[in-house]
Amino acid sequence: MKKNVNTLSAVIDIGSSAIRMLIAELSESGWRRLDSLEKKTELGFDVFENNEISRNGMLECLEILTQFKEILKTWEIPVEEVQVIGTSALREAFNKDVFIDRVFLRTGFKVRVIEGVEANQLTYAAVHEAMRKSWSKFNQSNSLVVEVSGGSTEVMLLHRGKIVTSHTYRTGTIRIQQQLNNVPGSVAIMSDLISENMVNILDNFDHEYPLKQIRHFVALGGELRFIASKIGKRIGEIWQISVKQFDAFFEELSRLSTTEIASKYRIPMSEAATLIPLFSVYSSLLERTASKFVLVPDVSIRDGAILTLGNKGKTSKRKFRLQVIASAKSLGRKFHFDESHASHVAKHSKKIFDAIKKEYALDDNLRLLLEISALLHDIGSFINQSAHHKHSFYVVRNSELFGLNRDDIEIISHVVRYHRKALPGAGSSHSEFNSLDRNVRMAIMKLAAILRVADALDSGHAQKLEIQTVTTDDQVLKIITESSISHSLESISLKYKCDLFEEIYGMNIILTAGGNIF
Amino acid sequence: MSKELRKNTYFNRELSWIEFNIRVMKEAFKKEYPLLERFKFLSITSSNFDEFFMIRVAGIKRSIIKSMPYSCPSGISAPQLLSKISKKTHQIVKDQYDLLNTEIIPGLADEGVEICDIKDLSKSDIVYINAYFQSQVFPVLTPLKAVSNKAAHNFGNLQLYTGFILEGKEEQEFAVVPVPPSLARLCPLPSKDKASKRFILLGDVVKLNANYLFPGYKIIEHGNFRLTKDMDLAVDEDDDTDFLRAMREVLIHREKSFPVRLEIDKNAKLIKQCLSDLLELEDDEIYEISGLVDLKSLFSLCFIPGFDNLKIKPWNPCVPKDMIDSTDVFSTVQQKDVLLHHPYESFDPVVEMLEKAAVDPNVLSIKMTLYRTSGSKSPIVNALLQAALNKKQVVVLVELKARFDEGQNIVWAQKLEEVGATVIYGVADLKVHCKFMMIIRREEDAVRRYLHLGTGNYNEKTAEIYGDMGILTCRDDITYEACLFFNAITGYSIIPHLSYLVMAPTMLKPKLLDLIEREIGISEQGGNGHIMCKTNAVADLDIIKALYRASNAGVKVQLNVRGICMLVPGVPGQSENIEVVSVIGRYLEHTRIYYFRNSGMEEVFLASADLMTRNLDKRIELMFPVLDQTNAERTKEILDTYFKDTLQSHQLLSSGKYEKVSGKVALNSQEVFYKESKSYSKNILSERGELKVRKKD
Repeated sequence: MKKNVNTLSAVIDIGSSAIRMLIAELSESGWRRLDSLEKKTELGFDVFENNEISRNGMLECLEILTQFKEILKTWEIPVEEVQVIGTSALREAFNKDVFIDRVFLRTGFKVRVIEGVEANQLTYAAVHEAMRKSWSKFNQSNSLVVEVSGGSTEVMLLHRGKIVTSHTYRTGTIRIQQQLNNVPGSVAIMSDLISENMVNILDNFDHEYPLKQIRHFVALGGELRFIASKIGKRIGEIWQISVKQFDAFFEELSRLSTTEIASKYRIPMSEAATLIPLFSVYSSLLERTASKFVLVPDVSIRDGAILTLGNKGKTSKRKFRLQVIASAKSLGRKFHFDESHASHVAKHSKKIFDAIKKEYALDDNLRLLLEISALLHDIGSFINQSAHHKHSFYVVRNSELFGLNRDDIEIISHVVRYHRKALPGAGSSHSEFNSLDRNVRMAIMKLAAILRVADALDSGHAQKLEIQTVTTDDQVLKIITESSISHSLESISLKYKCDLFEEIYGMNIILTAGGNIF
Repeated sequence: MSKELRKNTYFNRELSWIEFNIRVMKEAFKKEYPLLERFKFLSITSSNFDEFFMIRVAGIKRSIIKSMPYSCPSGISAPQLLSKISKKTHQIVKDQYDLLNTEIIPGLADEGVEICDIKDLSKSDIVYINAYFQSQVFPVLTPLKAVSNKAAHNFGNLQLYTGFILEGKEEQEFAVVPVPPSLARLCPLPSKDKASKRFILLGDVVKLNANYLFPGYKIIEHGNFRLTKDMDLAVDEDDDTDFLRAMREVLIHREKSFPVRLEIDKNAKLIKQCLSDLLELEDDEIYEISGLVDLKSLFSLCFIPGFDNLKIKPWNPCVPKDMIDSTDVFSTVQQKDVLLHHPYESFDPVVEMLEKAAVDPNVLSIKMTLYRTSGSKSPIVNALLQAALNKKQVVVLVELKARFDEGQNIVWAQKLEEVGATVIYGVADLKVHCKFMMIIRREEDAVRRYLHLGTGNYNEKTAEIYGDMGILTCRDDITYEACLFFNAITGYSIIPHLSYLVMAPTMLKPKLLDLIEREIGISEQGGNGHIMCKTNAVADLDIIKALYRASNAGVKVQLNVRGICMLVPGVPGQSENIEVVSVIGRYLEHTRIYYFRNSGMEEVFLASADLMTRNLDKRIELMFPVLDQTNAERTKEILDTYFKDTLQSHQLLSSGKYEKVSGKVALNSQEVFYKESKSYSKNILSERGELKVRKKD
């Protein structure tokens, strides 16, 4: 038999109520699930109550991970090749570093704590794949993708299948149960409490994007998949539940006690106890949309992680880039940015970047960060034109951009911070910059240098100047424009703002239009 | 509910079981069978009773001793039941021995197989026997004089003893000698000619030489006896610190449990009195035997070499229909799901798959459950050992609680652990009864999981005498679920929600009830609801009630139940649409098939579980769909054939009696299956079971 070249991969996801593992085979034609495991934990109860993982909680996790390691052996997957991700509970635990270290020493697993946005990105990849196959209308209208877990609620808004915005809220079934422990009461109180919790979130969302325009409500999560298999209709890889069925089920659920739910659906008590808070959250979101169905794809964050692994270096990278850009533009619109200017600067930035990337070994990831920085560099003007680079800095820094992690956001926020005025690291107000890692600081300076040049080239915000080509030649960066009209404003501006570029890259910039040097 | 009605709603499970054993015994009365085959059925009847007494009867007796509540839906009380069991069993034992002593033993002697009585021995026989005694028997005997109360209570379960009443200088003494199980029960004697064989019982050899054992005593009486004791074990599952040790303790403790039955030579009146006093036995617990005590240990007589005219013609297992053009079991399974029908079709493909996997470098791992195997020489266990030695990941779930196989299972389970296999010793509170084997292999195009699911154990020996079915498949949908199932039962994951496989104790009963309900719905809508089951026992009240509802809704219910059936068929307003038959033949019926017509979109399942509460609620079992269309059709045909049987089938009447099924067309279902499988494999195997090879002359 010829050797099989497909890879077997595994993803472990340490969540607030369970640790789960997915084993899959990746091949030329796609991927398929081979095995999946789940063991319950009380990590969420620990962390959301006491902000740290208890000794017992830690031992329990180590025990489960050791068991999973035994299963990995039966698939001959080496421990170091397993992606182990930690979500909300781990993210919030004060002692997560101790936990990660102990897991590594005991099992060899390297746990990576991921941000809400990155979690959303993985989930999105899986949802998109499943919906694409089974629900063709998905890419034609607006959808809301919601996943309620123990410690968080992830909400993604999709416009024609592309992410417009995504948010992670700190509300989830475990947190709700804990809140209720302090206020004992009936189911009705719980529903009220949950709606109250949700109102702010929903209003916020509505402001960004009218929920009434949502046609598809996509809900995720193991419990929901189980219920969907009881009351829903199977269409390809997804379950479809009509809003009527959904409401009727929720209604019925509300009348049952936890014990009754457990015995009726033959599920453990702990799972039965989460069903009502879970459905309350989904229901409060669902009723604000215009969706006639709840669509439940048979996927999870783990599928997304596997999928992302399988698609490494393939077409999806382009798709991913478009997603991130769409998400950045959505943020920009929220702050009424000058979209033409932003896009123009972004375009020019990329042209300059591409001209020098080989020589300075700049990678594609930096290019994307530059593009996003260019799109968002002026959004602080919404607050005040004066010192708007500083406003841009904190707005970006406190926003969620789909597909980007904390480190990426850190870089982007500093790049926009330094798109004008003082150079990075100059003066006492730059402590945040100075506290960054040297490599990060270098990346910021490299990108800010380009952004300053590109911004100068549209200082009139009129997109008069259009770059034709950019060439490098003997310590000179030659920017050739196609327009023959005057670029006086831009060239003056450039003289001021090429400082960082010349310092970082050691090149002079020459702007020429039809042979004229300005 | 009135008492009258209750009587007719459910049969008592023990009495129903006794009816089953009567059917087994009746096979021995069939003159068309050769003598040794008839003897075999008598021996099986006894062997069946052994287990029945040490588990079931012991359970009832314990409930009386400990004043625990005993409830039977038929309304009978525990003392009433014990007395009924005793009465019936005494009658059966009488019938058994009448037949044995008047027809079988004299008949065998006429044919040249003689079991000699002491009084028939010649002088030269006695010389021969004495020499045999001195050289072989005497060294392993451990006689015990002046049997105390404590010693009597330590008598081994089912151990054959020869008892003696001795007269010494002062008073009479009671002594016993265990008949050593290490020696053959039948000692060959010099025969007159080559065509005949003569035997004497080991117990008689001991009796003849008793003066060596008790010098200075006069032997007043001697006789064989055997005790049956309470063997129903209960391990303290909460104390799981060392389950293996707990299990061993149970096995030791077992020997000290209370007696439930005494079988004794009917001439040994004094010994009977001694034992009855020492052990406080009631009269109805004592069975006086005229002749050979312990027919089970004489089972080997059925296999004496030669005498083919006294044995039934063997039906050798054939190459399975789905494997006929196969050169490699793995590639065959890749093409199509393989259906196996044992023992007509050979169990070899399953063993072969495992043996190949053990040495195949592409195999990543083997996951399997083991309940009963053929022991230390089991090719299944050996293949697993080899696989583990070859660094394959072997995960085995061993059921230590498999009754009477516990001791054996502990030994090889530890051996497997020593060579690096992961051994899981069962699941707390649940007996793992499903038959599951999965081989994960990395192939050129993809990773494949080869799955075997069956109705019978991984025991190639019993696979030659038990009627069972199984499937081999590598379908992605089922094998993926099988992975999840195995993860759950080995404690690696939570119990999954499955859509193809149905597992007990969580989903099997609700699923069966749903399936019955669906047929009810179909019939109520004017459709043809139809349910067919083949199972070993029907004893779960929820299922029975659902089937009664089905009958009332007009669903046609056909049950083929080998043994216990608590459902009362043919009662108007309750079960007039239910038919219950039972097939007893040369092979032990063991397959479980569940069929639901589903308005023509038929569903056929195989399962490891019977319709008993213990299977549905207290065990880990699997029911699995026969998805492949041709396999499903074939399975249904097999099921249909059983209901057409007119030679080996009995019908259960509403009175609780079983009546032989008759019909114009003589049909023996087991024979039909045998002939069918033989006709398929005729082309490749000669009558002698050898392959026809081509070579240059």
